[in-house]
Amino acid sequence: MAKDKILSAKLKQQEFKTKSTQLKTQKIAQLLEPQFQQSVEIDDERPLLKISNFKEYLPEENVQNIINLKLKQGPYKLSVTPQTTYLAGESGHIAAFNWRHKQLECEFDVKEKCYDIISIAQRNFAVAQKSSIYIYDPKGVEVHKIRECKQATKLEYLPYHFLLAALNQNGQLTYQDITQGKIISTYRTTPSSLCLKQNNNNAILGIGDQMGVVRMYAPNTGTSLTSMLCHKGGVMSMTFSRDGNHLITTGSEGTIKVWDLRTQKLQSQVAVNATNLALSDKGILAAGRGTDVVMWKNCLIGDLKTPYLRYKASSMICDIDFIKHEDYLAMSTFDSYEQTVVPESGEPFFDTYEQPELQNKKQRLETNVRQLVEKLPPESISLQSHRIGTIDRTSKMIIEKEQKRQIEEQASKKIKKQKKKMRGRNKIGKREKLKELERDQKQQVKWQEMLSDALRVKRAEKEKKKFETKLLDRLEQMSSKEFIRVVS
Amino acid sequence: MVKFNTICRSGQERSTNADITKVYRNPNPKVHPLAHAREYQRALVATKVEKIYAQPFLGALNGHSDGVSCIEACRFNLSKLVSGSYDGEIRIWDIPSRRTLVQLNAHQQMVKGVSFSRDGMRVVSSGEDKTINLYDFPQLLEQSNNTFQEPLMRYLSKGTLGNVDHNYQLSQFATAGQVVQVWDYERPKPIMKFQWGVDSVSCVKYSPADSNLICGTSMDRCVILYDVRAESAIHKVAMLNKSQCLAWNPIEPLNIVIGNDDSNCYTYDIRKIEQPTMIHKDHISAVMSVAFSSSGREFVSGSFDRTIRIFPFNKGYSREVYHGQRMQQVNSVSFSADAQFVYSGSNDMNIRIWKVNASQKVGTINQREVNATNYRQALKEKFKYNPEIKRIAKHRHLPKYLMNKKKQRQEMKESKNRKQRNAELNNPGQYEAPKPEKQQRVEQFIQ
Repeated sequence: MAKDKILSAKLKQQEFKTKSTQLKTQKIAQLLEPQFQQSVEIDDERPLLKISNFKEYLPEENVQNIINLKLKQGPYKLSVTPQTTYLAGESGHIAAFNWRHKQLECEFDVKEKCYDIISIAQRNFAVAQKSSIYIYDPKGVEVHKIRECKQATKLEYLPYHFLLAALNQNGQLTYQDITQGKIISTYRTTPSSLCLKQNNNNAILGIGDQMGVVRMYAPNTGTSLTSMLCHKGGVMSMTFSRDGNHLITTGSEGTIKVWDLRTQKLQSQVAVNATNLALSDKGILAAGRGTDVVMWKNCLIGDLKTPYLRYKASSMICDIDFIKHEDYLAMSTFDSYEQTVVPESGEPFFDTYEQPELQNKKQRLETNVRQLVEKLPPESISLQSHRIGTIDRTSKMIIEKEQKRQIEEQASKKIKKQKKKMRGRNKIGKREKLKELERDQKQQVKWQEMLSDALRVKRAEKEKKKFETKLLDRLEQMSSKEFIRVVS
Repeated sequence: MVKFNTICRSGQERSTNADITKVYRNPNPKVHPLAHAREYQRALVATKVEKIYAQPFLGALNGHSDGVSCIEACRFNLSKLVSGSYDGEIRIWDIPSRRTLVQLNAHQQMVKGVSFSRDGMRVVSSGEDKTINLYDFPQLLEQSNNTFQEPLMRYLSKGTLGNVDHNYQLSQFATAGQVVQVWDYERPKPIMKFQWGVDSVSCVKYSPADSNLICGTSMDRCVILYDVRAESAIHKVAMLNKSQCLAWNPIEPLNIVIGNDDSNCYTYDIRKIEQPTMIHKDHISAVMSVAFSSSGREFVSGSFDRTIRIFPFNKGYSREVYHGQRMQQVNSVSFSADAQFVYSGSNDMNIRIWKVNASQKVGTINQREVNATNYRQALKEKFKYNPEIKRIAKHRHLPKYLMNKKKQRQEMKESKNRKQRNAELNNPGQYEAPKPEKQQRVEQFIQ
């Protein structure tokens, strides 16, 4: 008992130390925060609303990064990082360019339908094409072809676990480890999924479907962790806040809802029709529909009444996203790529070790190695990510049960060797016969299973044929009018 | 007036290639997603990396033609070491180059003990041939090619001799043996003799704080404390097994550690010697030699089971175990003066040099690397109670004979505990709880 007291006292001391140092460092960091921002003053009392109102007052660097590129081949999907944008056109046009330095990195045509594009570790990117998922080099060289995920339409990348998640039209979700090329898990989600989004705070994937339900998934379990009925119609789009506490969804019935994820309750809603959503670092929400984008500033606090900014793109919007640690909103439309300034949307004070795109070459090489060494295991993904490394406060009985189960599993996995009998006669011939018997028995079981499978397949085929012949007979007998009725 | 801020990163790039690129650190937890999982992963990687880089064996000093019986590292010069062997040879080694500096045929029989004086000017050695040699250390190093160098003084003892220990302050030294004798440089005969009972004393050590206190371990399983000023022994405590060796804690000189034949080390407070304050259990055979580090926080013990173990001064189990395929029974151990290295002299005629922290880099280390190692150390400290990390950090490869012996001991201990528990449960009222283990080890306390 005395040992436990000392241990618990030590642990308490440790926790107190870490918390107090955290607060101290945050205070000091606030005081020493470097100046990345420039303040702009306008002699106008009206709210900002349109970029044309304040464009002339902006510093030149921001004005230079307002982009409007005309593109030709079909609606484009988008993925942005603080240095590059990746565009995938539906008819196969794929391009990557550095929007900061206005340089084209690669551009090529794949000649088949592309559904989604996403940037992966170390400046590679993955494209979900019709045949399979392809991973490309920063220069555009095809590096991998992922055959296991069939006809994926949506991609998400978990950066700290090096997992590429691909969602099928049938609802098949596969997690693949990029460093090893192994499929971690694959299972069925909902058959009518509409949108896929990652919760950056705890690496959980949210999938919204046509019934208006949002489900959360992790690679360990085959079923959803939680589900929320969000909308009366389908969930068109969704985003998570940076700290993982809020979820914002749009429904096809024409509302945008802000949910508090800790209590899973509705926080606020607004009757605005939107197809695309994006949330910036600092909590500015952008909702796009048709050619319009509307932005709200304090949506997480609950103020969705007065919009902050409005933007009108040149054609129908396909995809929008805020650029991390910058004040820009990137949009990809039917025939253009546009980038506009949204003041006070990005987090100015970045951390060099978190953002490999904002590092120089040597730092980036170091982070490549360090990230791989610190790759998180996929089993650690859960809804309560802050519990790792803390004291397990479950009851003793549950822990003992789990330990028992583990021991039993291990014991059952062990292959039992036949002991050599030392007493009595112990002929080698007999021992070998026994071994052969065992082997034969195992094989018999195998053959039986295979036979039964083959039989089942045959029977299914037979029945199918019968059904088809029946249909054909019926069609021959029917008149033309009845035929039309049956078909329609 | 509408005021807002926009992010401009144009001033971030450095002006010339000679400038360093600035590194920005934001401690706001919102910028660091999955912080707990990543920190845990880093701690796990740190413990594994420590195991990968754990290479404690640095080298061996070979040259003796018989087993090494006693070694002592020089207190004032980090590169010198004196060792005595079973055939009466004394060698002075230069550790960095692994060479013998001086080779002396000091005694006719086994060298029982070697000791440096505090200022490093004198070396004393005692042999089984009842002689004690006093050498002048600088003179030895000068005339290094002469193997038949004569000692400054040679003292003859009436009775057999054990080990020798030089006084920390005065020009005196004490020898163990049939009788504990205190010698002065000038006198050919001992200035004082102590005898309590008929048994001889195997090991004798001066207290680092008080030059009048001597502690000795005798053949009748006792630990005796002598006072030179009062010319008598103070008290002694009899244990269950005899002790082979002794060491005073240099920082807390009221504590001594003795290495016993029942494979445990006991820490005693000399003021209250009836009961040990700590039992250090990890060896499986008799402990032959104990030595304290100059920090007073750790001590090393070499035992008959061919391993040396490093114990923290206040914990019951060892922090580290070193063993070698070729290393036989360890006769004596010594810490280097900077507490970075451990020397062990064993029966296979070699003296081995080991690192105290097995995964520490030897030599000058970059400041960045120092910061990184400190961070990793802090991580390991934070997560050291976590079962997965604890398992990895605790794991040491042991040779088969040690593992089997350990398992045997564990079984014996468990069965003993089970029997006690059953006796307690089944005989209520009649059962007498056994004495606490610390009291069990001591047989008698005699004033």
